[in-house]
Amino acid sequence: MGLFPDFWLINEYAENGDSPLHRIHPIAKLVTVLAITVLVVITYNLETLVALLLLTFFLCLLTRASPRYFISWLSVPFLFGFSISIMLPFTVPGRALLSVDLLLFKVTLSIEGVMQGLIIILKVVTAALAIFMVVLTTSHFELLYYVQKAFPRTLSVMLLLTFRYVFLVIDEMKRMREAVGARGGSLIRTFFENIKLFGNILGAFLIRTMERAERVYTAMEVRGFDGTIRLLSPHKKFSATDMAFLVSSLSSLSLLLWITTEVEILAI
Amino acid sequence: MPSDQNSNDNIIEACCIEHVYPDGTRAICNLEFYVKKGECVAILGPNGAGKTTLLLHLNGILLPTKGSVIVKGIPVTKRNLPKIRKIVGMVFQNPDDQLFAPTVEQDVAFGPLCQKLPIEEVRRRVEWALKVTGLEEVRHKPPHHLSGGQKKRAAIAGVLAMRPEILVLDEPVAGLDPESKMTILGILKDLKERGGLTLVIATHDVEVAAILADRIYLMKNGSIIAEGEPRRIFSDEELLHMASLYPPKPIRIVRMLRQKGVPIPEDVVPLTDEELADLIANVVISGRR
Amino acid sequence: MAHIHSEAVLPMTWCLIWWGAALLMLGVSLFKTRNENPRRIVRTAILAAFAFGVMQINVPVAWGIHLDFMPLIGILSGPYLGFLAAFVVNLFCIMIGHGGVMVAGANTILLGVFEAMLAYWLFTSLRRVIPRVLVRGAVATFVSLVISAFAMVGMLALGAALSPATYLILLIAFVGAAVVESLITAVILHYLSQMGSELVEVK
Repeated sequence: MGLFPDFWLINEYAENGDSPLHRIHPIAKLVTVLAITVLVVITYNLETLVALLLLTFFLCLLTRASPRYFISWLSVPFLFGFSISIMLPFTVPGRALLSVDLLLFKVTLSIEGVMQGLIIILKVVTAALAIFMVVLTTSHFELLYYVQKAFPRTLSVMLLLTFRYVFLVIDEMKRMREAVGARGGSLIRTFFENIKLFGNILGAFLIRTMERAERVYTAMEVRGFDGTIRLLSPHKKFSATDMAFLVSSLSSLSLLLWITTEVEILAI
Repeated sequence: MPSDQNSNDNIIEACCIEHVYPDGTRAICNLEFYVKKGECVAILGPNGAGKTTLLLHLNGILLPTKGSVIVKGIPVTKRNLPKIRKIVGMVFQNPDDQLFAPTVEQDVAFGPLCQKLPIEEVRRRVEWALKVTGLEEVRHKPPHHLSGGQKKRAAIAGVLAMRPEILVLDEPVAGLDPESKMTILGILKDLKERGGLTLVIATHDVEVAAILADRIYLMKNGSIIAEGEPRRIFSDEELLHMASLYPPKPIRIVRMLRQKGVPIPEDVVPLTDEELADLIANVVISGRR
Repeated sequence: MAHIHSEAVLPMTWCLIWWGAALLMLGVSLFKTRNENPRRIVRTAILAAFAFGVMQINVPVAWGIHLDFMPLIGILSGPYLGFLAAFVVNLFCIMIGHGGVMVAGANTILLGVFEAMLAYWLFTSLRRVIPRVLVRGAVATFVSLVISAFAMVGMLALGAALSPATYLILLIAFVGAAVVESLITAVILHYLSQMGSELVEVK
């Protein structure tokens, strides 16, 4: 897997892999991740954030997935976090960490600025890892099932259908890219020619997609679809292990919070 | 033919139907079409002949602009659609249009769940449909992880779970590899013979008709140009030619053998490879004596 | 495109405020679509799949950027279904790491209100002023994308304490992407109307 995540592989690992986390009930995992995310967003305390990162990192180890997965998953959030915080050391006033003389300018990096940048990056990375830990160890259907249970029916229908057809769309796009590539690629043309080409390809694709939507709806209607999607529930029961996991992760979070802040209320 | 058409065990009767599309193209004209309970009817014809259009009338996806379709005595009208669709199950040509649930099991359960059956019954039907189509191993897989043959079987399973009396299939084995094709034909044959299902199959693959059909309708340009038993239809070269079809391979081979002087009686029309092998074995063995 | 790509960038208070707004809009949209024809819901879902799928590719134009097509969805599905689609697309983005649960409220407002709904309203209200679909589509898309870019920067400015230079760079990047996306959307809409597709007049 290169710099960006390969969802096919991630999906494969989630469906077919086996690790301690795979066996935990999705709700236990979701609640844990929610708790971690809430804490990550609320806190601006460096020690707390580092501790949270370590805890999340430990949970990721429990997924038994190779580091490549994590590196590729983190690339986008990290780049985003980095690009929004890169200017901070230069613009936030404070004690100087490093000063460089550039001809007429004196460029100073402040400790406070670096700290703030670091804090942002820590938050971004920890939150991304937390979500990934769930995505990597839970079959998409199970995730979807529990999420859609909370939604009213229109949203449920949309959620489930969109999920199913995203894969088809991606497949078709791969095929389209191959077809375009086989006919000479896109670097040869001017900007406007490219736009026109792309627009037309996508327009044709959109029409095909719409025709498919009609057929799908017909197929659903013929089987009795009346606007509400009903699903068989996946057979998982919330076991003692799952409860143990939930309790231990929530108590670790509380412990970690207490140790790093001595029960101070955190800045919002 | 007319006497059969009015017989009481016709499960489908379509009289004088015509369908004209909004843009004016007349897709099918003046069709007379009937299906007896428990039989397998194949609708053969080239692409564009109107086979799919005819099929779509059988469960009310299309309503005829003229004429009527009657299923089990119930006329196909907008009001009767829910009733009709409990009796007629349709498997479309492209399984990806039909497999819209996150996993195979969920898709098969969809029909029964929509019918608001009790959960126990739903699970029973899902088990049965998965068993019949041999998909128990892949029940938790999402559709995009399935092979072409598996997808087709999953689409069939989804319809079977609704326990229809009539199964309508549009090109059930088009584009499948030989093994998948034979598996599915085997499943269909079994459903008809042991399950008592009535089958209506639209296809341009004569082999499918040869293996499964009790009766064949030939279609071309929106009209039915012939109807009858497979052996009679396939012996008529001119007729097949009009429908842009070739007879099944065993028949072509027999024709070539006759041309080369092998004395095979005209009424011998082998439909399957087995029948051909029997025929040739007989000829060779009797020739040796 | 103009959405917050990762979790933990906005502080909790703002996350909650934007979530509140998003839930409000969700309620409104669900109410307005409560009797919607299931056919249109299915169609919007598949459109959302289309948008999400296409979002994953980098347009090989000038520099590699990615588009989100939310304005197009708003134009084709109407404001309320479009908003719901934006919410669903956001959920999927979270599942692939392009967003976050806390910021999902903000992202949904950005994609749903500022891109999908706004593009729809511009597209329909400009019908007398700009009869040609091609131009109208481009204008509606461009304006909504630019406004949403400013909205996003505004959200960041209100919430996170980032340097002005960052905001400027983000704005420039987004406006650039907006140009590309509006041109492509225009071509798509033009293609659809040429094909006589009934989509373009779907209300």
